[in-house]
Amino acid sequence: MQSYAERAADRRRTCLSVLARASQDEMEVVLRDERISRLAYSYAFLRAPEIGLVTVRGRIGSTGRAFNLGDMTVSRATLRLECDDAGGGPIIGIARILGRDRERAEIVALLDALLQLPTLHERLYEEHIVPLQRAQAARHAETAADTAATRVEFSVMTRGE
Amino acid sequence: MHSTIDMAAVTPGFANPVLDAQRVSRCLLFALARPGLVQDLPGMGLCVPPATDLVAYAAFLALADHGTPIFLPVANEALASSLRFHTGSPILDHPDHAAFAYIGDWRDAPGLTDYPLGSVHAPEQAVTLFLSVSAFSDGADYRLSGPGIDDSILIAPSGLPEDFWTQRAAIASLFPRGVDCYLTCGSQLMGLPRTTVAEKI
Repeated sequence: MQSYAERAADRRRTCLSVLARASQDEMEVVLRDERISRLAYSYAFLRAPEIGLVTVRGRIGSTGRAFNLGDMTVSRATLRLECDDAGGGPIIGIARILGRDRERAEIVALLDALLQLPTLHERLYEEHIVPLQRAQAARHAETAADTAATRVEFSVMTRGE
Repeated sequence: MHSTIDMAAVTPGFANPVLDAQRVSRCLLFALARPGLVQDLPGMGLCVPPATDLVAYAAFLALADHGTPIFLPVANEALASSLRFHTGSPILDHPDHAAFAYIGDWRDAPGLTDYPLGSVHAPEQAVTLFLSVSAFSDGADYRLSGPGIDDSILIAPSGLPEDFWTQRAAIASLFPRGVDCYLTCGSQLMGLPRTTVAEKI
């Protein structure tokens, strides 16, 4: 049985992974939700949006020795949300997304913080995160199917000499 | 000292990371080049963790990274969390491997010989200390001389016990090994490199 804190951390992880893959337009729709737009909130950056590199590591066939595949750009941001609904303690929103897009990193961090508001969480999750997650899963399945259609099976014949 | 980051205690970093870090390192360099002169750190609207001098916090944001362990003789969770978050520096509770140290009160700190003093071949690996003083005046008078000082200069920082000056003089013979210090007070600082000779008047 998971504790409440573990479930909350799992939920936050799910939301962040969905948000990190969402487009800016999709997230702006969430921000325009009246429950958010009528909320009085402000935020300050602990770490202003910035762009950097991470090294992506690979492993051939998932069993070989790990090697550095290459570098990839990431954008990240951390902010502190000021809001009357916050309850106990400050709310910290974080974002790490692939690619060079400071604006999107900022929106992900803001939504991460807003999603932690107990008064908003369930509704935002059900009405925005779940549909986005479904759409992303569908897109992923489509790409996977397209890729699978071009799959070539290599086989090696050993000559029995 | 545990190594988690208390996100609620983290204060914002530089608003303009590149330019602010450059301004701070310029100021730090100048302070070491002109020992004994009080420098004002240009204002940059930085929020500082409690019980920390702005200059020291700004210096760590500008200079520290995961390769420069920082020693804090007195546990300061807000400062430690902010430094771990912004710089990735390991925060130490013992001075043996420190690259930097922030000393709020000299009486809480270990003796100078407990810090890395560098080696003859790599004197630059010595620790750099940030020592908080309560003011740059009204203390006991010291006459400074050495490289970067035209003849001599008088300083009178208060809140720094005589023990510090005695210990500093005691390790002077180890040169080129030694300890470089900054005296800090709010947004002001004074450089005190190992080459500077101080005598009490």
